[in-house]
Amino acid sequence: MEQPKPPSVAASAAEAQNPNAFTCELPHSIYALAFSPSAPVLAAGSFLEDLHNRVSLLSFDPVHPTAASFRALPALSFDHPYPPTKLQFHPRAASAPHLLASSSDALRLWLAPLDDLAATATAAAPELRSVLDNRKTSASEFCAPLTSFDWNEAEPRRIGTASIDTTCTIWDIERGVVETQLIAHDKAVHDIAWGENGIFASVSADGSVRVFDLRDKEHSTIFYESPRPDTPLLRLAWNRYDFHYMATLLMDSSAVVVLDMRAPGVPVAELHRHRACANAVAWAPQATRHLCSAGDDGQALIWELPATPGAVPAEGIDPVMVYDAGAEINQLQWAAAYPEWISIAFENKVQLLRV
Amino acid sequence: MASAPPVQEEPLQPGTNHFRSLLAAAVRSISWSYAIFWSISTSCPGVLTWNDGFYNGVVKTRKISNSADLTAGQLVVQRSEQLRELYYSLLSGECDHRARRPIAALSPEDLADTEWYYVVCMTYSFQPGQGLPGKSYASNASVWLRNAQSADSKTFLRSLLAKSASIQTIICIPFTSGVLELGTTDPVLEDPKLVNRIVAYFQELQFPICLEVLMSTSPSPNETEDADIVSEGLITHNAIEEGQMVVSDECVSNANRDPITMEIDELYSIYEDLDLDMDLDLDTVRFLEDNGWPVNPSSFQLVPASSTEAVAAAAAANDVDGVANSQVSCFMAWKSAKSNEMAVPVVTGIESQKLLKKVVDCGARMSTGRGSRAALTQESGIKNHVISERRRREKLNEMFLILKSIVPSIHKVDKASILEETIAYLKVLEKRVKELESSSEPSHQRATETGQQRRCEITGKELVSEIGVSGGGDAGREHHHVNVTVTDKVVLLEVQCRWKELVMTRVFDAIKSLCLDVLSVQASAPDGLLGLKIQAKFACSGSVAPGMISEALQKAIGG
Repeated sequence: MEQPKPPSVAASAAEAQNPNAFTCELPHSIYALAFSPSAPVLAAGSFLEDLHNRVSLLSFDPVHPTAASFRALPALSFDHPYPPTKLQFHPRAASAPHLLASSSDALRLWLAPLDDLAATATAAAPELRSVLDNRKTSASEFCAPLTSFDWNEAEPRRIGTASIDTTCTIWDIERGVVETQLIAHDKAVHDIAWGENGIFASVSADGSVRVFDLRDKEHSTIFYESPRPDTPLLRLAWNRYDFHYMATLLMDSSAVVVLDMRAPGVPVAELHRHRACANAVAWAPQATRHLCSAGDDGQALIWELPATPGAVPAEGIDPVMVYDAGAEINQLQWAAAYPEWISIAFENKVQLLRV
Repeated sequence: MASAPPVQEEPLQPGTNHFRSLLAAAVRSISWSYAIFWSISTSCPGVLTWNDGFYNGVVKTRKISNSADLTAGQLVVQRSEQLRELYYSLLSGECDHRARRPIAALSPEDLADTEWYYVVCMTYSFQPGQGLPGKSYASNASVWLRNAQSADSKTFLRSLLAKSASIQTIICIPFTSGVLELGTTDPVLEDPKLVNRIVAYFQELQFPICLEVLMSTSPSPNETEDADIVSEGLITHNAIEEGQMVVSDECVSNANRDPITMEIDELYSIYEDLDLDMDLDLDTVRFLEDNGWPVNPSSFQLVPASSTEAVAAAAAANDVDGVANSQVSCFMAWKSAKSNEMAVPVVTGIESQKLLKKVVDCGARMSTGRGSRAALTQESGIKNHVISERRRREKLNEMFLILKSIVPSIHKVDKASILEETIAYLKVLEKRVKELESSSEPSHQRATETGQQRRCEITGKELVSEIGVSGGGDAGREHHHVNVTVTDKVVLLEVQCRWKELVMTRVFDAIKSLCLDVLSVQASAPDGLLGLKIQAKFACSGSVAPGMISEALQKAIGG
């Protein structure tokens, strides 16, 4: 097929509308987003219901942002089989090469040369380093697609993947083998997130949030179940700054359900201000009680939880801040290296928002 | 004594103002010892203190230079004034006698106990609700206290003082500006009529004050003075000496000054009360302002993480330094008015969460272009994989349920416990099988050894049978043998007889009639004879003689 055209920057309208929001248009629909933990780079994955998809790397200037500085780097874009369901950079910044992981039919690791972004003309495209799948025989069977994955920040050799075959698989990416595969959910697993000390949680189409401990693989704890029977849970976000809190999204629901590890079963809060279904949720990287959610109503809302769980008012919590994108927001990421920046994806646009 | 001649009881009070005269009239009309009017203090707002009083009790020592010329009423008024002056001199520390022209100063030695009580009361002050005056003022109701000298000091702060003065009954009546207290050394039963009579006196108080205010601005005081002069004239006519008239005129002059002073004091008191109320209002306003202050909403702000590495990376990434934009966030503050829009129903359906649902359903299975065959094959494989995995899990769950229902000792629900208890149960079963096999082999061998004889084993005990010694060929002869052995409470019976119908039944009926409980029975039938070996014990405490047992059994097998 043809090479994609260079992406055009149509930020004049957005800039006139909001001087602190920067828009980059790409030639295809966007779903997966990932901030680099060390470089001002944002990875964006296309969503084409086709074998041929593409991952683009966008650079931005966090100090003196301009419309021109937020742009795609054509030399660093690469083809990707099937649309990536999640993208994530290696969580350790200094001591490791810039690895980018993607999940679709398998878990793939890419080597992204982000060290010298200025020399984009001569840089090589990201190189596929390894493909991790657990096919029994490589010739005849197919690996079940992966819905999501999470990279363990404390032990970066571990990546946990979620699959529609009801399994959670823990990979050792240094040896390229499966460390553990756990079957606990009755239906497809939609998302996975690491906590601390080898603990991770997963959400499933069976409507439950389960918490696993690698030190005790025999058991998993049902931490939350959706109030309506068999309502699937779609997304899960674990607060990295305060591991007591998790947030999850339900199918066909506008609520963001906030859970507290110290009080399983009953949500700490249910955030009900989206006027359409919620699509994405992310915790603030350097605050204990702030999170951002985005939905089909085109709004990105920043919330602040009350200091004590009992202080949730009966009429519900109002968000602190609101941004209106004008179209359904499908993805949301809050940069850990630059906490004042949030990135959203809607239609074929990626936006950089200053908090 | 306090009592005056009836002729002198007329309330002619030329020497005092109306308020004090009313106090005197009230207390003298009921012949009580004293009257005190407590009012809100001007120096301590909210506290009841001495305002005025009248003493009508026992007098110990009189010091009057010209007592012959004064009426009984005047003497009593003078005594009250002298007591007040003594209080002031004591308060200022002047203990020496101060001689004044018409009146001689008193000293503490000149006082009776009741008078001393009256003077000390001037030192008291009461909070609303404290003591009798405070209580009456707070509740706005009369308080009648009997047996004051023995009252609880919490109820009546001056109980010890009243005891030494023999004060027995005290009334406190609330008024607009204070509390009127009356006391007496006599025990008086509570009488509402008395209270009403006293109140009636002071209901006239307001009217005379208004009149006096009016009179102060008109020549009518002259008329009043004329009236007083007329009274004094009458007294003068009774007098013998001409010089006494001069003294009377001086008294009249002093009396005229006092009302004006009292009126001025009352006016000042009213003004001060108004100021006090204004202060209270200001406090109230200040309090409301404090409550009304809105709480400043907490602002949301994140501190950007600025690091040299980030700056270096930014510098490396950006060749040209652009103009720095403002640091204002592109997010806007949430407006609470939008909460009304919460009523808008959330749009759900096939279009909601469209991309997210595709992602979690793994759009990798979708096929719209090249590679459709691979996608279809993979999709089919994926579905088969999921279905087979689900079938396997359902089958396992079903088998676990069956296993749980088959094994009786399983009580837990989880699969590990089911397996564990099943293993334990199987081990128990294996153990029992081994025990059964090991116990049946010796019995089988013995049976083989003694196969020639037919036996019925009831309790599993080894059968020891004795074959009766009989001559050869004498099968036709009857051999009946009964042997009874008694050991403590256990009886061993050995019976041998010819087999006949119902012989066993008769034997056991005989045993039962002897009050014996059968413990074990061994029976054998060698050569057509019935051999019984029975163990039994006595059912009742009494024991039967072995001979009787043997005789009963003989009858059973013989019949």
